[in-house]
Amino acid sequence: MPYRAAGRPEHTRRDLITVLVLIATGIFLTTLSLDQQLGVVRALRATVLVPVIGLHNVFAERSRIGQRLTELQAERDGLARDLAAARVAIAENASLRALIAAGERPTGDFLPASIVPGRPSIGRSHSFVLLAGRQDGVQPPTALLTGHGLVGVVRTGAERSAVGDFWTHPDFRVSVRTEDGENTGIIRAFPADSDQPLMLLEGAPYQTEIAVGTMLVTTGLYGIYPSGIPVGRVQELATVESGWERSYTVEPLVRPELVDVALVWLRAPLPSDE
Amino acid sequence: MSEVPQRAYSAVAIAMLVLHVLLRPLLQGLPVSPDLLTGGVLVGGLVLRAGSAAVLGFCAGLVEAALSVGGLGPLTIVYTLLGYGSARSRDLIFADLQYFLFAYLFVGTWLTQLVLAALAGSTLTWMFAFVVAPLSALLTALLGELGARAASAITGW
Repeated sequence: MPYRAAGRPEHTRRDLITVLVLIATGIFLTTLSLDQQLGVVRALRATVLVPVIGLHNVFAERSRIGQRLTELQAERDGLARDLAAARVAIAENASLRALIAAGERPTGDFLPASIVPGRPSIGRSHSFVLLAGRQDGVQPPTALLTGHGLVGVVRTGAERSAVGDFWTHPDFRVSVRTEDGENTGIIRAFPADSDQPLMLLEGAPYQTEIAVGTMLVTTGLYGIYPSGIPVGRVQELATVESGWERSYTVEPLVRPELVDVALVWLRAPLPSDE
Repeated sequence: MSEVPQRAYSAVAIAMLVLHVLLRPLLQGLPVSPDLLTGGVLVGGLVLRAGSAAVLGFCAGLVEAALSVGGLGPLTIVYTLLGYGSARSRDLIFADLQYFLFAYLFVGTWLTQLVLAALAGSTLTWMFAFVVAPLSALLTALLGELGARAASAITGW
């Protein structure tokens, strides 16, 4: 489209002064410290740009929902595939147990429940309240997990609620093995240099070295945690006690602060329950 | 005045600036997106006095800095100069071309993106300078030209 210049406004000295003032303002803004600049930005975002920021948040939320939907579909497909394979294994397991007259193995069930984490600045930051209790079949101590892996342990229970510790708690311990069952050890929380704590695998055999990235799963010993629940991946060798044991740092699969709803294991009764 | 497409240009400038502010997160997600902010300031400069165009550019830079949380000073200065420069460029440009707005937006957006990238330092690569920025400028120019023609055809401006 051609531009025809008739009727266009003329420029005056005032325009020049205006632009000089604006550039001076821009230079002044450049000289502000980062905190002061962010203060200006925050003020704009909290006042005139509120509707725009709100709209941007809606876009971001829709984008997150779309992404989460894709993840959930992939997860569901994976679960359907695993379930199909598990059905065969369950049938084989049942027939083998029947052959040796081992009887039926109690596997327990899982109950989804909301958790309320402790606040980092007040009270016990590594603990949580579970919004389900003995009335719902929760029998402490028992495992708390998500589809991704182990979250923590439920320690004590009331009728409608229970209290437990995340794996980040200093007292938390869980017996783990590598997926092939070649190596075992005990996992505990390990305060890392960064904000996010890691795990430490202790008591791993000295004779064999566990490769970086190896998945560690629960052994299911003592019956508090179900067997085969993913816990974390080996990150690096931490210490070697010559001729005795190796310790490894482990990257956890679940960050407790991101968990709102988890699965409580409704385990079979233990001898210690009586 | 009725022969002058200034009202169509004004509509295009406003539409570009509003769309940029509203659709920023969506446009950012694209590999190459039109630079509606630069386009809006450039077209706005064609219909405003130089001082007003500079104020428009300053405000545009301020909003862009607030939305991107950074570059407060450089963005306000660059867009102030862009607004002022685009208004003053009317005296230099012989604008009787059939596709004046398209060419003006293409060149203006490309150059502005190069200046902004140079100020940002790390993003000024050959790929950006000769592929991404021209494509972005091309999209901006196309949208500006089509918008002006549509506004002119619909409203008779």
